[in-house]
Amino acid sequence: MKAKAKKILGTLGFTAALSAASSFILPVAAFASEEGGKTGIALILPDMNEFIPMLIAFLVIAVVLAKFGWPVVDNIIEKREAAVKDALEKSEAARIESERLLEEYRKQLEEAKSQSAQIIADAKKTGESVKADITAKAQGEAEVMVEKARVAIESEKKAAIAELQSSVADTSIAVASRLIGQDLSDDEHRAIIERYVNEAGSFNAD
Amino acid sequence: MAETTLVIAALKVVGYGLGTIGPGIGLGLCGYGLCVGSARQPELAGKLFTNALIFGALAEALALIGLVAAFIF
Amino acid sequence: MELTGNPLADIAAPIEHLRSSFDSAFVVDFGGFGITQYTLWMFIVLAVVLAVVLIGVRKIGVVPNGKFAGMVEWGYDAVKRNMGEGAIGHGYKKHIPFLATLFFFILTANVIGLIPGAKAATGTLGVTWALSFIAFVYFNYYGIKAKGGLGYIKSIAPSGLPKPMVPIIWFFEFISLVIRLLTLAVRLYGNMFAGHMVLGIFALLTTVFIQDAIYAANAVLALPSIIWMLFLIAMYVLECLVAFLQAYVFTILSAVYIGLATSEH
Repeated sequence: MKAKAKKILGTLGFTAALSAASSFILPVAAFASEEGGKTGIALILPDMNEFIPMLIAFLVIAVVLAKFGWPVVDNIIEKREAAVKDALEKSEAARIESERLLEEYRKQLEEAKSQSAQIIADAKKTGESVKADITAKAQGEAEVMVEKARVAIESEKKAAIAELQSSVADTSIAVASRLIGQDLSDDEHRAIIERYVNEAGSFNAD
Repeated sequence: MAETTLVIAALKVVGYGLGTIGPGIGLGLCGYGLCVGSARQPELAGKLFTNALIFGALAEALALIGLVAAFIF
Repeated sequence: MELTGNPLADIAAPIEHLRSSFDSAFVVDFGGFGITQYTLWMFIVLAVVLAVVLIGVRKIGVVPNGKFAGMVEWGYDAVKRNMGEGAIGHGYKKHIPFLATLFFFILTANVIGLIPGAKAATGTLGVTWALSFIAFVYFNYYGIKAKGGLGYIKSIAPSGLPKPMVPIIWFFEFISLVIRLLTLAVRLYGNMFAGHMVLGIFALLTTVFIQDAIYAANAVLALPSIIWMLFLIAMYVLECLVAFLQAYVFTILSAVYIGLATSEH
């Protein structure tokens, strides 16, 4: 700041000294006739007292500013333009990049979702098949057991019938002996009755 | 003597005043052309403005010569 | 000043005094040569322009940094874009420092002249002649540099004319070229001088009417003062506009002349 202030004061002082000196050296336009003012063409011509200082001062200021002032402004404007353009381009690139990443992530999410759906479907299918398997097996076993039970029941029934048949023979002898009042202790009679019981039994067994 | 000077001074002023009629109209036409042309084709406004300035300066030169003549003679 | 009861008669002497106050009078008188009041104000304007631009230039940075620096930057940018690209076209870059200095100088001189009590540095023919002379030499120099001496003289007449007319047209164009020196100077001087003169006259009218009203104890005489005051305010606003406008017109005409001189066709 001090350097610039000194430069300004220096320029000013130099210009003032130079113009004052030149006002001494160069003659004023000798057209002032009366004390009132100038006449004729002198009204349009410049007063040298003002012309020379202004000329020198303007040249000085033009040179000073062209060297120290305007190029800096020019640079800053260009730098700012470049910076803004740069920032815009960078932000554009970043936006494109972020969109691309978004697309990628979205695709990955889709894949993951479909994969999980697949897994679930698979698991379900497996579960179903296993269940069917077990059910079939259980049913088979149940049938076998039922068969076995039936067979057992059949044989038991036969055994029970055979026992009944023998007891029925005894009972009927007892009944018959009571009815008849005699003893049927003969073996032949027993044999006849057995034969009748067998027939009846087989008749009953029908 | 003073009267003649006054009369001459008055005539100078009147002469200058008469001399600004033409350039006044000319500059007005210049501005009119600029406005209408820019209204019809706004993209040419820059070039039209430059041309308007050139012709305006030419027309105004006459008015200024009139002013100078009033001073000199 | 002496007062009679008639303001229209009283006004003559103060106006004469006002008119003579616009003449260049020596502030510092070295016996016939010296520094006039306009030169003094020109030095002040010079200091202000140097200070404004150099301090503004220190403060600017890539990020916009405050109003003062922004103002300098905006002015330079306006000159570069509006007058450089618009008026000169191709190859405008090297003329911008000169045009920017011209613009800032004339603008500051006009604006400082608006302050009551200060004189516009451009309100005298000497200063405006110097500016016009510099601009004239500048554009002629660059024209000669762009086209060569003889080429520049030949190009004063526009191209594409039938052969017999060229000398006549050339003559008128040459007069027009030389007149540019005069018109640039007188346009700026006339605007500044006349504007301030009108301001002075309206102010004087207001004062004299009121004074005569008090002197003649006649309140009716004070009524037109309101109108003069309103005119004064209106003219002041117009003068503000004219300050900017004249700086702009001078600079853009210089730019147009440079463009015409250095264009190729």
